[in-house]
Amino acid sequence: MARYGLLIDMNRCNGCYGCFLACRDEFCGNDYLPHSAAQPYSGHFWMRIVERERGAFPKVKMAYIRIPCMHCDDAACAKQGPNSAVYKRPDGIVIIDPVKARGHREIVNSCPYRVIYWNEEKQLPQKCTFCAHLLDQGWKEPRCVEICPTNALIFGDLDDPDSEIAQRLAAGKAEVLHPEYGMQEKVLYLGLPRRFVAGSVVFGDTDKCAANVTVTLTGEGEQKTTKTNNYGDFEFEGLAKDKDYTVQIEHRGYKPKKLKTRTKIDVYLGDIVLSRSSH
Amino acid sequence: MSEQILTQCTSGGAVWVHVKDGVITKIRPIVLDEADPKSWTIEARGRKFTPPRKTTLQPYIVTEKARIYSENRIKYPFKRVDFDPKGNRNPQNRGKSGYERIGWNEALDMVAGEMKRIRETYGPAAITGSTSSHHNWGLLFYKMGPFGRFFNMLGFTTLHDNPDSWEGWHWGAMHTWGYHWKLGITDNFDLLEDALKNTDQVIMWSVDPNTTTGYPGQDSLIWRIWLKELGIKLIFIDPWCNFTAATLGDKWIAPRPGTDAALAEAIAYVWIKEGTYDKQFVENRTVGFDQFKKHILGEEDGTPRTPGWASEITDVPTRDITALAREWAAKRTMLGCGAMFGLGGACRSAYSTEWARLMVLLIAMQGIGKPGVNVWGGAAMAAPTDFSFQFPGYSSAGWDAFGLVAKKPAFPMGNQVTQKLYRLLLPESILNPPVTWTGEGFCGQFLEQQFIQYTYPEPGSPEIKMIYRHGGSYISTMTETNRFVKMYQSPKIECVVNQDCHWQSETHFADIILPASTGFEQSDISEWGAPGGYAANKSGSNFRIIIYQKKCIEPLWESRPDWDIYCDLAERLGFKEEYTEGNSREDWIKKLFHSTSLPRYITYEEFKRKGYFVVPPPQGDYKRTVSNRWFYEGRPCNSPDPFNPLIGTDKADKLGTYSGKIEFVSQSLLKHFPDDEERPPMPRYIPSWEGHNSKLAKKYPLQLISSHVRFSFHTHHDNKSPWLDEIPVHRIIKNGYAWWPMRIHPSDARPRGIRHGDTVKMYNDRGAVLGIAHVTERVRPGVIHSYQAGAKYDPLEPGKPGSVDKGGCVNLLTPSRMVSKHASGMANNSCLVEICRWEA
Amino acid sequence: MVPLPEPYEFKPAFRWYYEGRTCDTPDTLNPKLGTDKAHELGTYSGKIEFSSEDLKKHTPDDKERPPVPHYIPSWEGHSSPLAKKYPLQMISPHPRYSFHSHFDKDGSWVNDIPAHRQFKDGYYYWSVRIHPRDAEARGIKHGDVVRLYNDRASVLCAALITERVRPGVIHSYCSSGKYDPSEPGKAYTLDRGGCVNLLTSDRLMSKNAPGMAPNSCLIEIEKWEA
Repeated sequence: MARYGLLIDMNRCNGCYGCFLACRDEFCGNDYLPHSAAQPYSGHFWMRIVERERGAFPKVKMAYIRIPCMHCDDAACAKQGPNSAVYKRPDGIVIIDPVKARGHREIVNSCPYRVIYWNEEKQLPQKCTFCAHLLDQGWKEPRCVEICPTNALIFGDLDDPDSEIAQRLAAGKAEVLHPEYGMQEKVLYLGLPRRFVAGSVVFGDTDKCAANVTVTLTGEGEQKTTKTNNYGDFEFEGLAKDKDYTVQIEHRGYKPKKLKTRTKIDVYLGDIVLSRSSH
Repeated sequence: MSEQILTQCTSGGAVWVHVKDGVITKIRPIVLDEADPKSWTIEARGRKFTPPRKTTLQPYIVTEKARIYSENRIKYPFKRVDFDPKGNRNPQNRGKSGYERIGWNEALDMVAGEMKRIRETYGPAAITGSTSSHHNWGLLFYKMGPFGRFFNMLGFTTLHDNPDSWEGWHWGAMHTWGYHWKLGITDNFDLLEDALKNTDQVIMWSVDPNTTTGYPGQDSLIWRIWLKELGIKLIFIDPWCNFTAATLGDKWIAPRPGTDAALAEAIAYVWIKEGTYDKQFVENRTVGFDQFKKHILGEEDGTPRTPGWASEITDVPTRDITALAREWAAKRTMLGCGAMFGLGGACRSAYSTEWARLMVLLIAMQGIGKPGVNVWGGAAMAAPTDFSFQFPGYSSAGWDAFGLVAKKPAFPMGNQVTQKLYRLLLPESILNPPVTWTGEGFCGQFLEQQFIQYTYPEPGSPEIKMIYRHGGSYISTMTETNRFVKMYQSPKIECVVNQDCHWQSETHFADIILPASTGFEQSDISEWGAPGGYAANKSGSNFRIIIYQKKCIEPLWESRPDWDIYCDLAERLGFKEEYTEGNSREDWIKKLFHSTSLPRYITYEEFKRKGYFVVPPPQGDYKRTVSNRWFYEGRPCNSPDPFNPLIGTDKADKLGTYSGKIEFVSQSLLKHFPDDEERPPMPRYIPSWEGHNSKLAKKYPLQLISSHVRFSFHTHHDNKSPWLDEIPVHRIIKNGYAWWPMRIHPSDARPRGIRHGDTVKMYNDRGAVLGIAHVTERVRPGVIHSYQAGAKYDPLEPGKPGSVDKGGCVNLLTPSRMVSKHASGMANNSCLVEICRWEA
Repeated sequence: MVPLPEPYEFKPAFRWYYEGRTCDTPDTLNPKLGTDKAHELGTYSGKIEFSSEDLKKHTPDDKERPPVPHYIPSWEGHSSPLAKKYPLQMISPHPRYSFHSHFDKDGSWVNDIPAHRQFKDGYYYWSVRIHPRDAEARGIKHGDVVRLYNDRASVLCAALITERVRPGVIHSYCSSGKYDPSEPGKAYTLDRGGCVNLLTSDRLMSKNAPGMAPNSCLIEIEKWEA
C-alpha cells in the first residue's frame, strides 16, 4: 500500500494560483461521496496560499507558501473528531467523512494548521482530500499537481524508493511547515523562505558600484563570506529568523565597515558607502 | 449518463472538458499520451531539457467552469426599457436605464429592421461595428469569422483597432528595423536553444512574461526556470517589481515611468565611450550611426547622454547605469523586449516610439543575431517547432476567417464602404467631428500605411448612426473611458446593439442585447496558442497542438452561438446563402481540416475522435533558423516567416526598412516627417507630455502605471467568477465588495495617512476610481501600480459621465492623448494621479 | 426613579477632612462615623501617611512595598533583562465593545467593529494595536494576522496599525470571549481567539501585595503566515 505525500518546491512557484483554482474547479459543485461533499463556490481555501513580500525597494522578492491539509500521520483532527468522523486511510490520506462529520464544528478548530473549513450550508467541516476519489480511480496525482506548469508540486508514494518524491526527499533538505506541532505531516517543503541580509556596496570616493568586495556575515555561531557582484550587491539567503548578525565589508584601500542587524524581517541594508583608508 | 471527456481550446490553453448529464463538471489541461509524438529535447551546458507533456493553462482559464455558468452571463435577449425604435429612443438614458426581456424573433427583427432602416436612410456607412479580443477562442467561429464576414458582406464603416499592445514598436521600431508584417516587432525562432546554449544574461525591459504570455498558457514558464537554474542572469527594468521579477529576477532596476529612453541613451553612451559595441555590425548592417554617435556624445546639442545625465531623469543611480551598460557589453545578452510576449508597458506611453527604436538600436550595437545575442520576447517563444506543417490561425485570412475555405471570401474585397473610424478616436468622431489622424491602426501590409491621412467623416459619407458591439468592453480597456460613456449617450447614435456572452461594463449602454454562447457551447477547430496573421508561426508553446473544439454542452439559457445569430440576421437581410455558402458548421470545420497539413497525418474521423493532434516536434539535427541570424551573417532570410515580402526576391537579405538595414536615422521618417520633433528621424529621449516633470505633477504627483491584468484576459474573466475575487492580487474583498487593488509604496502611503487595506480614491481631472491600497515595496516611490481591464465599471451615479467609479476601472483616469502627433497609439502609462483615503 | 431631596445639600468628598470636620458624607461603611475619630482617615495615624505606619509595623523591610513609596522598576518592564528578548510592552485594558467576556462571541454583531475584531481569511481575529514604527520594523501591515508571543504563550490577532499607541507599546483588550487553542485541551498551544491574558504574568504585584499585574507584560510580535 502506498503512503501518499506531497512535496512543495518553493523555488519553482511563481504564484499563479493555478493549484488553488484547480482545486475549486474539481470540488465546486461536485460531490465525491464517500470522500467529500462539494466545496462552496467561495470562502474555502483547501489550497491556501500565503504571500510573503520579502525585502525593501529595490531589493524585493516574493514567496508563495501553499498550505493544503498536511495529511498528518499523527493528525490532531483524527483524534478530536467524534467516532471515526475523521479517519486516516491505509494510504495515509486523512478524510473527514462528509456524512458522519455533519454538525461537528469542533473539527474545524482541531487543526493547528487551520486548513479545515466550515461549510455553513451543509453544516460540514471540509478540507483537501489529496483528490482521493481520483486516486481511487487510478489517477497518479491530484488536480493541484496536474495543473502546475513547473512541477513545483511533487506527489507520490513516500515509501516507494523509486518515486520522484522519495528521491527528492532523500536529498534531505525538505522540512515541514511547523515542526513544533509534531504531527508527522506528509506535506513537505523545499526552500521555505527564512531571512536574507542584503546590501549594495558603493566606493565613496568614485561613487562606483563596489564590485568584487569581500562581505562576511557572522552570527548564530557561523560565518559566511561572499563577494559583491558588478552592481556592488551582496546577499546572504536562508538565515535564521529574529537573530543578531554582523556584516563586515573589507576591501583593499578602503576602511572596513561593520554593520549590525537583526533578522526580524528580511534585511536590505541599502547603499553601504566605503571610504578610502588614510594610507 | 456517464462522464465524457471532450477537447476544447481557450484564449489561455487547450483543455479537456469533463461533461456529465449535460453539465460541465471540470476543465483540465490536456495530458499527452504514449501515442502522441515524442517531445523535443535540447542539450545545453551538460543538461538535457525536455518539456512537460501537457498543456499548461493561464490561471484565469482554470476558472472557465465558473465563468461559463456565471450569474453574469447574458441569459436572454433584452431591450432597454425606454428604447422604442418606433418612437422615443431616449439615448440620454444609456448606462442608466434597465432592461426588459424579449424573445429572439423580436430581437432579431428589431436589429435587422434598424440595419435596414439606417442603410436606407443614411447609407451603409452609417453603421459601424467592433469587436475586442479573446473573449472566446476558435479559428472559424471566433470574431473574425462570424462578425467579420457578416459586416463585410453587409457593408459598414470599418473601425480600425489601434495596436493596443504594440504601440511604440508599431509606430516607432517599424521605422528602425522594418518588420511591418509583424507590426514592428521581430520574429523568434530557435531562440530557446540558442539561449540555453549561448546566452549569459537576459534583460527583461518592461516585460512580465509570467503574467502576459496569454494564449499558449504558461508553457514557457519552465524555460525561464531553466535559465535561472543554469545561472543565466535575469535583469528586470520596470518601475514595478513585476511577477516574473519578484520570483526569478537577479536585479531590479526601477526607472521612473516614461524615462526608459534616457536610460537607453546612457547605455549607448557608455558603449560608444568605451568602444564596447559590435563595430563591424554597425558598419555593415546599419545606417546613420555617425549622426547617432554625435548626438549621444553631445556634439549635437552640447548635452552628452552620460549615465549622470540619465540618472537625473530616471532616478536610477549613475553607477548602476554604468554597471548595467558594462555588463551588457561584456556578456552575451538577450534583450527580452521587441518580440511577442515582450512588448511591455513602456511601449504604451508618451513618445514610446523613442524607447522602442532605441531598444532596437541597442541590441543592434551588440550584433543582433549572433549566438546568444538577440531580441527574445519575454524568453517566451521559440522552442523547437515544425513550421512546415501548415495550419492557419484565426486571423490568417483577415476579417473573414471563413475566407480560408470559402468560395468567395468577404475580406479584403467584400466591404463596399471606404469610410474608416479609429478606435481611439471613436468618441471624438461621434461627439465632435470632423476628426483626422495619421496611419492605419495595424500597418501590417506595408510601411506606407503609417503615413495615410484619415478624416472622419469621409467626404460624401454619412456620420455613424448605429454601433454594433461584439464581445468585450472598451470601457475599462481604452483610455479616458468616460469619453465612451458620453459617446453612448449622444442622440446621434440611434441604435446600439451589444452581442456578448457576459454582461460587460459596456453592455449596459446598449439598446438591444443579444446573448451569445461561449466557445464551450459550440464546435470549432483551432491550433492552441496560434492566432496566425501578424503572429504567424509564433511558438510560445511546447507543442503545436491542433484541437477539434467539441461542443460540450447545449447553449446555456437562451444564448446562441455568434454564427447562428449572424446567420439569422443575414437571412432577414437577404444574404444568408452568400454568408453560409450552404455550409453547416460541421461543413466549414471539415473543409478547413482538408485545407491544412492534417490529412497527411490523420483522418478527419480519427481527429474528431481523439480531439487533438500533436504536430511532431523536430528531433536531433533538424535545420535551425535562429531569428535574425541570417541578417547578422548577411544571408537571405531563411526563417519560416511567411509574410516577409522580401523572401524569394533579390532583397531577401534585407530588412523591411527603406535602406534594408537597421536605421539609426529612420529613412522613412526622414522622407515623410523630417521635421516632426515628437518622432524625429533619429530617436531620443523626449520628456513625457504627462510625466514626473510635467507641470501637472504639482497637482497630481503620482505616476500611475496600469499594465495588462494578471488574473483575467482583458475584461473577460474578471467579475465572472467568485474564485478570482478571492485571489488578493486580483481583487480584495472588504465590507462585502470585491475591490480593485492599488499598489503604493510605504513612503507615498505614509504622508497620505493611507494604511494597507484602506479604501482609497485615486483621481485626476479625468475621473476618480475607488480601490483598496496595497502598501508594498514592489513599486518604486512616486508610482502607483494598478491593473487595467477590470471588468467592473460601477459608477456611484450610473449613467453620469465623470461619476466616481467603485469597480476599479482605472482607464477612466488615463489620458486620451495619443503617443505623439503622428504616432496614433495609446499612452495609458503616461498618467498622473493623486490618491487619498476614501471614508464615505 | 428616586427623587432628589429638596433642597439638596452638597457634601463633596474629602471636604470634611480638608476643613478638619467630622465626616459628613453618606459613607455608611466608614467605621469611624459616630465615634470621636470621625474626623480621621483610616490609617494608623488617622492622617495621610507619607510613611505608612502600618507597613512600618508589619513589613518594615519590604523593599517591594517600602513604608515610603517610590518608583521601583517593574519586574517586567521596559528595563527588564527580558525586554531584550521581548521588547514590546503590552497593555490590555478592559474591552470597549464587550463587558468582560460576556458580549464577545461567535455571531455577535460587535465582531464586525474593526476596533473589536477584524475578519481575515474566514476568521474574526481580535484586534491588536501597534505603532507604525514597530510594525514596519517587523514587516507588519495593517490588517495582517500577527502572532503575539512570549515564553508564556502565543496568541494570534489582527494588527491595527495606529499612532494611538506610543512606540514600544502593544495595546490589546483583555477579556476576549474566545479561547481557541490549536490543540484543544492542551495548555500552552497557539490561541487564535485573541485571549491575550495567556501572555500576561501570573506574578503578583509584589511579594506582599497579592494583586494581578496584567499590564506588566513583555511580548514580541511577528507576522503570522500559516
